[in-house]
Amino acid sequence: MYGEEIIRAKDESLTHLKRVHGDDAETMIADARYGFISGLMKDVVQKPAVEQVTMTDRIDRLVLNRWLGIPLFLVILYGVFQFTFAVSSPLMEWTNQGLGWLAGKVSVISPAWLSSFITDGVIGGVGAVLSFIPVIFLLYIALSILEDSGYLARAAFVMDRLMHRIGLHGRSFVTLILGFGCSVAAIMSSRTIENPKDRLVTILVTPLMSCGGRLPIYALLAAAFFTAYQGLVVFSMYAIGVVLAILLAWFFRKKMVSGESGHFVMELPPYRLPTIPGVLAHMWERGWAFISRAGTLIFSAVVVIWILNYFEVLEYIGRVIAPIFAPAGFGQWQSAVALVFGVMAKETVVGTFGTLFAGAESAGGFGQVMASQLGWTPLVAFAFMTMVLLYIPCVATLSIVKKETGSWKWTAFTVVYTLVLGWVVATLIYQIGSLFL
Amino acid sequence: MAGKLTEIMEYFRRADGPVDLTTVSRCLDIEPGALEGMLQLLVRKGRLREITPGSEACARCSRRSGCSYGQTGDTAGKIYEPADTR
Repeated sequence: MYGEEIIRAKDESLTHLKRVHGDDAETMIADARYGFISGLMKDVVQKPAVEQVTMTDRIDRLVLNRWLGIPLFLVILYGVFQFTFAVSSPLMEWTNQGLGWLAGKVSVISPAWLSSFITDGVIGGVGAVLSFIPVIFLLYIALSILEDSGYLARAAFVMDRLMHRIGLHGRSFVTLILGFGCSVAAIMSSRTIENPKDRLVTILVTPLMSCGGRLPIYALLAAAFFTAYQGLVVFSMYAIGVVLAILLAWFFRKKMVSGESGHFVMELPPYRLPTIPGVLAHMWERGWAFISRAGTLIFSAVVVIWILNYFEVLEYIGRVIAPIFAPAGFGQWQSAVALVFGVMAKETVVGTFGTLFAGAESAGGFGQVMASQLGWTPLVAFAFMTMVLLYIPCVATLSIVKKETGSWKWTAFTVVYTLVLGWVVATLIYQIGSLFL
Repeated sequence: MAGKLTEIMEYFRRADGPVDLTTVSRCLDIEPGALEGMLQLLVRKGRLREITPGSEACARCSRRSGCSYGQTGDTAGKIYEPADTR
């Protein structure tokens, strides 16, 4: 009797519940249990009020700040050059003293032409280039630290908005930053840019970035003419290169290679503390390319320069070309010859000066010789540095431009526009500077 | 129902199409392990249906063209939709 009543009461309750709530008892009991669990969890489990903020997030708040990002990038770049020159100056002094000592030892060799070849050609030319190994290696250490720490990716991210305005995107800026090492490697890295027009414009402006080959020229002239402001002067060269690359990219994208820019989502790796073996490996990889080029290409160039100079042909060639550069302040045959050979590899400019002014054992010595023999002033040196920065890229860069664009037309365009740009900017600097200095 | 299961069913009705477990977990702030038990109960009760991306049922679905799971087969967990959808 009671059993039947209980079953009937149960059935009535189920029907009632189904009618009122639209669900069966099992679901409702489960729902009530989950409701209870949820309430209990709220009472007894404490979750952090805000999501966990990682160290990367904290650093990025500053580094990627829309107002502070770009100034911070410039400050960091400036710091890199200050560090490079502060630490490398004494090391370069020792290297130069060592080369001077070596030149003194071999100067007694006979016959005289062989002695001249070794002291003026090999030690003066190749040695002048190799004496900048400390600067090159220290710059590469600093850049490797920035790269391995994850900062360089942020620099590209920070520039992404600006790059979009000129019709490119952050990926192109990564290629430009890689151009601080070597234009050849940078242009090859542009393969990751999917849009062919973005890629072409990036390839065309990458040679305007200051590569490792130009650094010895900056270092030599900055030490010779701007003793107290070496870091600032070299930083300004890098900055001029970046600004002109961006302006010209905008111009090319608008006037010559117009069309929609590709889309790009920047990947930001977390910040990492760079490891010493990692940084040294990167430094060596890039630095060794500099040394091996000095031992092969620069050596060959210096031999040719020495032979031409020994038989007094070099001066003749230089005098034919030199008047072109007179409006920019460096219309002497020596600087004209240095620029011509600089197309083989930019370091050859230093190698040429080293051969022509052999005997000047330090940057200060070079400065005195160039001031007395060529009439150079700090203004001329600065104009010459901008010319070196902007004019025709080295042969290796031109060959990679041809390979990557697959076009002689764009390669020839690169030669012409960089030469015209270099000449115009150097001339403007010299002419306007002469009005005030 | 007036608890979590109700909330889940309301979420599925609002969502226009199938949703994966991870998304529901994130939107409703329920631990995936606990949520899976709730979803299995709703499947057993015939309220939800579990879908295998790229399955025959998926291929026949009229909303396949607008469904990211059907297009790519890319999902962070199991996919569910209300049983009365099709």
